[in-house]
Amino acid sequence: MSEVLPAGRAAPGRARGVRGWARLRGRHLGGVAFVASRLTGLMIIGYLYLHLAVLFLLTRGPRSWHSVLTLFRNPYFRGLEAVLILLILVHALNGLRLVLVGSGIGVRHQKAMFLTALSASAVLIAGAAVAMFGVV
Amino acid sequence: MAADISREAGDVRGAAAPRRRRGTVAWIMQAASGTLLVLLLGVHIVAQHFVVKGGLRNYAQVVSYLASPAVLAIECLFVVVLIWHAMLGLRAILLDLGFGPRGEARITAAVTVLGAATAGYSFWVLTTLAARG
Repeated sequence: MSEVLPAGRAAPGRARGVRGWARLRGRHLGGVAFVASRLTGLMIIGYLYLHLAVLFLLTRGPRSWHSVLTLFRNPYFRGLEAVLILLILVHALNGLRLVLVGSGIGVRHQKAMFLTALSASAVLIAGAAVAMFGVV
Repeated sequence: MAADISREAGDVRGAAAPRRRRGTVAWIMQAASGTLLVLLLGVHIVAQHFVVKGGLRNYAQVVSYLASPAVLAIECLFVVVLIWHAMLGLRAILLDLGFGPRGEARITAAVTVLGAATAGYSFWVLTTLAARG
């Protein structure tokens, strides 16, 4: 909450709306982080509803769930699962950065924090992939 | 950049003070639920995907796992915090489309209904499975 424009003054970013997300020209790294946060959030919400729909099969009994497990254990599907975990990591770590910056902590280092969040996501997804695929 | 940070902080420029306060409250709720989610989602992913041989629980393992009252309570808390965070985020994105005060009220009502329905369905799945344990 450290950067607040005077009341009555329209923020250029807000005026652009969602269409402004695709505008790359003149966008700073912080703007990229903002769009990344929203896009990953939307994709995770999409997955949430897919996940909830699939979990309905659990209520139908063991046979229904077993047929889904066969699909889930497919290596290609596990690859998609790794992509999902990467999306969650980027969203979560970038979100923690936004909490800090929005609270006035580390505002001057926010770009470095975003790059750190991306680097940490890469390291964590590599660790998760080792656990998921058993690659050593 | 400044505009982006302020938007994330829930600052509704040009709006009346009560609307600005609501935006700030929404941001605080979003930040608090997001921070809690890092912990709860971590527990959920590790418990469901990394501690079981083969990566996923079979039917009997899921039912047995949810039969524990402590696990059921943690999963229910996870559902509430996750849906709360998701609906606040969805609302923020929809508000970016630039609706008037009336449209914003409708969006808030719609995401509230969607969130309540999603939570209701999730609780039904969880309690149905827990009861079979």
